[in-house]
Amino acid sequence: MRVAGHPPLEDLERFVAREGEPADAHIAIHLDHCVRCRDTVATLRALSLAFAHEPASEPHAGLLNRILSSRAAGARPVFLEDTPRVTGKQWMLRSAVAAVVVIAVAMTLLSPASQLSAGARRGELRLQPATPKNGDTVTAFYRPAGELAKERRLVLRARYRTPSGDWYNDGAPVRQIGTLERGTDGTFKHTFVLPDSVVFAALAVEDESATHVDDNDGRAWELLVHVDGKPARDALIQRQSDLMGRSWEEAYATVLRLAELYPEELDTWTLRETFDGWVQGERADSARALYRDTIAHLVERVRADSLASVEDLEIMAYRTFWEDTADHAYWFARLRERDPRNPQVQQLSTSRIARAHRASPRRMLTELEQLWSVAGPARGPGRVMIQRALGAARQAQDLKAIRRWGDRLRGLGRFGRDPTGRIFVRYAALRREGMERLRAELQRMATAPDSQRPLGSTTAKYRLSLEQEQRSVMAVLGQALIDDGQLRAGLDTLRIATAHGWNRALFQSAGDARLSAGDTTGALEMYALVLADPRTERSLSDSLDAMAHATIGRERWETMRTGALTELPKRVLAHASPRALRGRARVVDREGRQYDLAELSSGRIILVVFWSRFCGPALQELPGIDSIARKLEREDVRVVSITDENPSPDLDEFLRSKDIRMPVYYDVRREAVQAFNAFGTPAYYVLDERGRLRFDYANPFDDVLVQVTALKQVAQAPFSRAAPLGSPDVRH
Amino acid sequence: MTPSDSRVAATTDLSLEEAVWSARAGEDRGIAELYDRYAAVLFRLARRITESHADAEDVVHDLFVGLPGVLQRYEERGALEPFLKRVTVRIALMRLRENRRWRTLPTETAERVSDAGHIDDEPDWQEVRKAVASLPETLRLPVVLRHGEGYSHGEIAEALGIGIVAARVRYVRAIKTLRLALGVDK
Repeated sequence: MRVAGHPPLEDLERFVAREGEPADAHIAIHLDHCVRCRDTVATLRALSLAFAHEPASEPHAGLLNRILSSRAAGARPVFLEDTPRVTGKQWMLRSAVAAVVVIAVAMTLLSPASQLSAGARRGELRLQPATPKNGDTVTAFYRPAGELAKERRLVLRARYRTPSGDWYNDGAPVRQIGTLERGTDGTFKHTFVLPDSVVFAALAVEDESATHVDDNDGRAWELLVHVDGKPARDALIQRQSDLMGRSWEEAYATVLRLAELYPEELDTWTLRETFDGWVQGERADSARALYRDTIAHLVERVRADSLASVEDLEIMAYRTFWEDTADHAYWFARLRERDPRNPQVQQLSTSRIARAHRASPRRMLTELEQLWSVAGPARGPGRVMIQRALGAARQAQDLKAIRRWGDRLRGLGRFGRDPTGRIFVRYAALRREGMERLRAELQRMATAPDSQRPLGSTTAKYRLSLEQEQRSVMAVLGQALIDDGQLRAGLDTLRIATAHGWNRALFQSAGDARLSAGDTTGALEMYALVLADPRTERSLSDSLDAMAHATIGRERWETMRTGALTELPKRVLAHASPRALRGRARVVDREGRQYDLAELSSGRIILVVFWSRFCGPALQELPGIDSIARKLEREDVRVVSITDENPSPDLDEFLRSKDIRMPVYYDVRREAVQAFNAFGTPAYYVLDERGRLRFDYANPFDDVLVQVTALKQVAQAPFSRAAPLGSPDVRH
Repeated sequence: MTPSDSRVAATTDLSLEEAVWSARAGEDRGIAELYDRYAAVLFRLARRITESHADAEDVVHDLFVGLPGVLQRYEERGALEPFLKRVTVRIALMRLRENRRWRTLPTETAERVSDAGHIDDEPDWQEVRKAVASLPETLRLPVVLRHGEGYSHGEIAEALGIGIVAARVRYVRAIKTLRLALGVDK
């Protein structure tokens, strides 16, 4: 017999599981004679059925919201490996986890930046080591997606930042690190040495002609130099600078991380104070109260330290400036003694002089000249000295001073930009020289090196932005030529400047220039464009109508105006490439009803606005956004404003207090942010009536009125050849 | 043993692989997608272990909040659901430990269950579940994992951090206790 005694429990389990199979006949025979085993089988059967009939039990419907809210608030449970249980040695978990809730600030800071790999539709860049030190040899591994997957070689570019890097990043040169070579498994690889001076790098990958660029959807991949296993202080400060204007929320998170890792540094808390002021708004004071004592303690430490760093002295001089107290005099004296040409000394001294001699530009000039002799040349924020002096010189009509200070300004602009041409052409005696400087600017733009192409920008997109900049310079040059008596050349230049793009201010000034040159018809052509702009006041139309009827006649004026209306969509849409959203974007309203963005549109144009209560710029723009949103709603444009919070009475109260009446939706699943690739607020998107994303940038915000007008005109005339539906995508 | 019902219809357009990548990168979209797919299954498992709806929600909450970190240890070669279940078991066990809810068999309940009569008759699943819930933790968990989740003794041993022999011994003892509690030996 196979079963001499009681069969093992596992055999009885199997018997229950496949009840009555012939192979188990011997167990059935045993059961006939064994009450104990029969009862065991009955127990197993009861258990099996009890678990199978377990009543359905679901987590609460709001659990996902709670999870996403916790993540948004920075909660990050870390499940530690190999954590022993407390109940005895035999309970040691072999590879167990302990839930330790760590309130961290941002996912990006918790994990090495290179692990922020993107989804399948973007490529993935990985750096080794992920936490490099200065001077390390770093290998970049790139797994491409989309168009870049077809290439054999790719280019790795970086925006390198050193500890002295400025806020914002449009002036930071971008370097080509090297060529990524394709390996046999399709992964690209390049090894490079991280320069000693670099503490932070934003990285992107592109093909050799920069036709397709993968910059991790605008986020860029990041490299933070590490010291003792944690991001270096300068690396975090530079990351914060790099994110300015791109994502205030991420920059703020970086500052919070800085406070966590480097609480002993004064500039940590000064940055924190600054950011709390920006993003906490009315709550800034209560936020700052939490670390007021810490700052007081650090200030006393600096005061007692005769060898305090220039950096700390700068901070103290700046912090106390606004109160203009004896305390400020003390810190300012210490800083000036240590570093007489310090940018902060230049800036603060300039402010004092400007305050004291506001009513007397000549006196101001004299004092600034003295300051220059001891503290010049201007550095960093010290450039304010030159701007103040130029202002005073213009006020005093002192051409020599304009030239002198103008020359001091030359070459200090980003990428060597020279803004003096625009200033000089306003004065007859300096006009010729100003025009030369403007021409030099045009030449500089025409030959701008590739290192000035922003990270993430394709060559096509970069060329468009340069052309826009050139047109703006040409408009000034055209006016200067007319003023100089070179009428034909001036009008030609203006014609080129206004031939493309949509810039109402430029049309207006070109119209004025043509009018002053006696070219009434040319001026009216420009004014017709101004009138086609939806932002133009109606009263202007009345006065222009009268002038036009008297000079070119009613009929021709009407033709001109109709032509301008046709021009608007043509020019505005010329560079707006339609692209689809990434996946579904579902949002909920205050009552918890869920909407797909496509449902909300129902064939209408949609303006989507992402905003946050915790973003200073978004808060500033909110009333303006609300006003434009209401205007658009009246014109049958759907406005969807999406906040980064979940519904709450507190938020309701906020909206009431700000009198915000546009519909507010909640991105509880964070799908909308993903679908739009929204990175930072405020962010605006205009979708056409077919749900395609057409515009993802508006500066100033009221440009959305022009964008919407363009789309509406196209929608109303779908077969019009005048309104192309976009050129090939220049983004990717 | 009941094989667990593993899939909940996905509600976004991400494939599983995309969702894993996205969640690993800390993107809410990927996390939401994986939540849609696995939360119900993991919740049920956590509910079985913790015997508490609220605790089970907390377990699922903690798991998904920390999901990007958890997924760093996940290798695509393996199946995701068993991996997530293993992590869920561990978090749920930690939750039990935090609650200090180490229980002994309440005699009163056991007696009341016995009064219900022979289980060969009309089965009363609720009574069986009560009997299981009344087991001390050391015996209850092997039963829950084996019958609720279909774990082998080896998997139970790994989840509980004990040896495979100890896992089996506990399970056998648990069945014996239940047999007595359910009055089958009467």
